[in-house]
Amino acid sequence: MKLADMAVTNGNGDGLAVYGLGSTVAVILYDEATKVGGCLQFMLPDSKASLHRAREYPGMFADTGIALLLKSCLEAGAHRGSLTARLAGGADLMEKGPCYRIGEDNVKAAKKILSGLGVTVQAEATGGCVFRTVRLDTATGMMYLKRNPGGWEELR
Amino acid sequence: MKMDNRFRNSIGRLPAFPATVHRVTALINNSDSSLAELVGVVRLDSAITANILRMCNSAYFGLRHRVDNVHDAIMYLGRQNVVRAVMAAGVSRFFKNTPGYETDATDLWEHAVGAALMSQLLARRILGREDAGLFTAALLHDIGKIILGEYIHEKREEFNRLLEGGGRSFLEVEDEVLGMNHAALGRTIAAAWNFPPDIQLTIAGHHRPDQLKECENPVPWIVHLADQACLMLGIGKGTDGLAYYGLACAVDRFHLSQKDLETVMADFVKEFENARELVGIVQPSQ
Repeated sequence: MKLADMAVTNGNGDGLAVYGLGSTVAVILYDEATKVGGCLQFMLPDSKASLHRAREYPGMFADTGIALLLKSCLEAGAHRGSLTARLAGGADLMEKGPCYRIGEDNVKAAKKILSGLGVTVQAEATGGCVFRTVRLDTATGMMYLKRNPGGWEELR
Repeated sequence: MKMDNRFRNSIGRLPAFPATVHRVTALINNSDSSLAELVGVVRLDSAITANILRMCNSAYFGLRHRVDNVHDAIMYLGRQNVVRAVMAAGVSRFFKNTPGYETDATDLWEHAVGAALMSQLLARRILGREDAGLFTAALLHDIGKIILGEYIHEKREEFNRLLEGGGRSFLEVEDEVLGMNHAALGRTIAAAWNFPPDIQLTIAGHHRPDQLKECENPVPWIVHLADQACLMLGIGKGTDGLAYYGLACAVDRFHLSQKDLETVMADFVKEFENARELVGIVQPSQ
């Protein structure tokens, strides 16, 4: 999946993957009952940074992206009550004095928005200063994570 | 920094930098040069010719007409875009799989092009104009990795051990383990390829522009920010990740806020999509 992009699948066995998450955050929603899963890679915490880009790329921002991801999962048959979220990414540069913390702000924004929507964050692999790749197996709901360097591990 | 002979030997083994690129840049900077002269020089290098034709139809260069020959490409691109296209076409051939950073040629090239595009967006905001020299410096900023990667690969476990604690940047670990870092090595490569001193200096200081003697030049600072914005967007995917220092003074000196940086990053996505032909000229198998 590209930057600012999202995808939803309805349990037909298709996997969803995001390669090379930096400060960007992958939000994965999954409904175990219906096997509907959705994934978003958003880049920035708040669409106020560029409202015209938010219209063009709603997946770019936490607020517009997560709202659209939830709507798309529900339209694909997911039940709101059984949807859970998993998060990955949100890395930041090492600090030399106070500096921009876009990764941290992205994670905070995602949690706040999901909480407001009543979706529980079940697991997360966020922060630090590594690139991450995530993959969701929609048939089983298992999510796998890879840090570079490092091998695949399950994110529970 | 005194350079170990093994690094000098590795630089010596690199293929010669295409003379066409510097000849085109010199012609572009000479206002008396003619279109026919430019076309004549570009045509001497068949690989550059093929890549220019592939790239110039990308939305990034915004040509209204589809072109299929060098004469029309150069005529429609405009002088500054010719520098960008020829530079990208010439530099791209050096990008290869770099084992120590666990990136393939595509990842490294994608990061180079990303930083070059990001540098232009930042330049528009900071300087009020684009800058072809800045584009070149950003395109080359990580060129040291094409050599240093092999040496990192040999010392992988030591790198992992030193990075595990989280207190050191990747650049510092390169220095500690190898006595060399990719920025300093990149500067030597750029010197061997006869790039001007300001481009060499920018490459050397792209992670620590605050440590350069000529601290007032905005170019190293803009390349620093462009590089970091691309790392934040995951463009590069290397084992070094984001293990570099973010410098608060880099945004402060241009009176940028985090929101300003976010706006530039938001604009980048469209620009990057428009430039996919530039990104696509390097294949992972090279």
